[in-house]
Amino acid sequence: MTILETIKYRRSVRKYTSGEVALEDIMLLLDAARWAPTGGDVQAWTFIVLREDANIRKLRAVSPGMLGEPTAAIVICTDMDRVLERGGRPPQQFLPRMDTAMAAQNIMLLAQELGLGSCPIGSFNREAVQVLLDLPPSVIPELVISLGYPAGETKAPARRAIEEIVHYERYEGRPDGS
Amino acid sequence: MSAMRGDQMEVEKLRAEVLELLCYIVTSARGLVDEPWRYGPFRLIETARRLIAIMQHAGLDDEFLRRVATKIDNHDVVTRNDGEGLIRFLDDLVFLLANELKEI
Repeated sequence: MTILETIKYRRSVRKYTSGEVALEDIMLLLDAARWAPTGGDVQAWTFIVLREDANIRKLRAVSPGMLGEPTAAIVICTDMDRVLERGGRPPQQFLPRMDTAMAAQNIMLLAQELGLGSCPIGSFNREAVQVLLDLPPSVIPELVISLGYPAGETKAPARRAIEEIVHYERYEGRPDGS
Repeated sequence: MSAMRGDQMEVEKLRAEVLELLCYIVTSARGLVDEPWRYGPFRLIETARRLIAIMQHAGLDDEFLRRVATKIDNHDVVTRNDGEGLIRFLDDLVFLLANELKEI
């Protein structure tokens, strides 16, 4: 499968089978994550892997956006201590958060290639996750990725047309220069 | 294992499941303060689905609950960007539930 096909076939999966995700596969996903681009080489990301059912249930209980019953999850966090140490002045400090998004995409694309389903979840209660995972105050949970084997197919949602979202050379510029 | 010990374990399991749902409801309420309004129905339907699962685990499973669960499972409320479809789905569900309520 080409990269473009993997990108296009990836879906946000919200229904999973009870099949467990192998630790070896999780390690591959994490390796892909750490090779994502990172602004200023700050690498302020921190990953918490959940594979135990009791812990996933608790995470699911405080994550309204976590649907279905995933058998694994990765909570991607930003280590603000590292950001403050290496991330430059405040206007630049948003970059590590973008890094976590790019790491998440690497995880989800490789998951697709491994036959796993995934879903990025932003709707979770940060304070509750902080408590459940014993996160120090400086480690901020940014995104949860649920993982598991998809139960059935997920339909592709429509995408906005390229003409609607792309401009050339200037806002509302067309490819022919007009 | 004694019957009493077994009962106690069941009660503890039920308590854990209800507590999980309680957390889901309250964190949803907090999240919805900041989230798009259309997430409201999603959260409530998910709450209904999780409640049905708890009832089923607690031995309250029956054909009616299975019907409601199947109806929810078959309607992907999140990815279908279909406002009218969502309204029809919810209206059908209300009709189904009201008819059951009338019979008890």
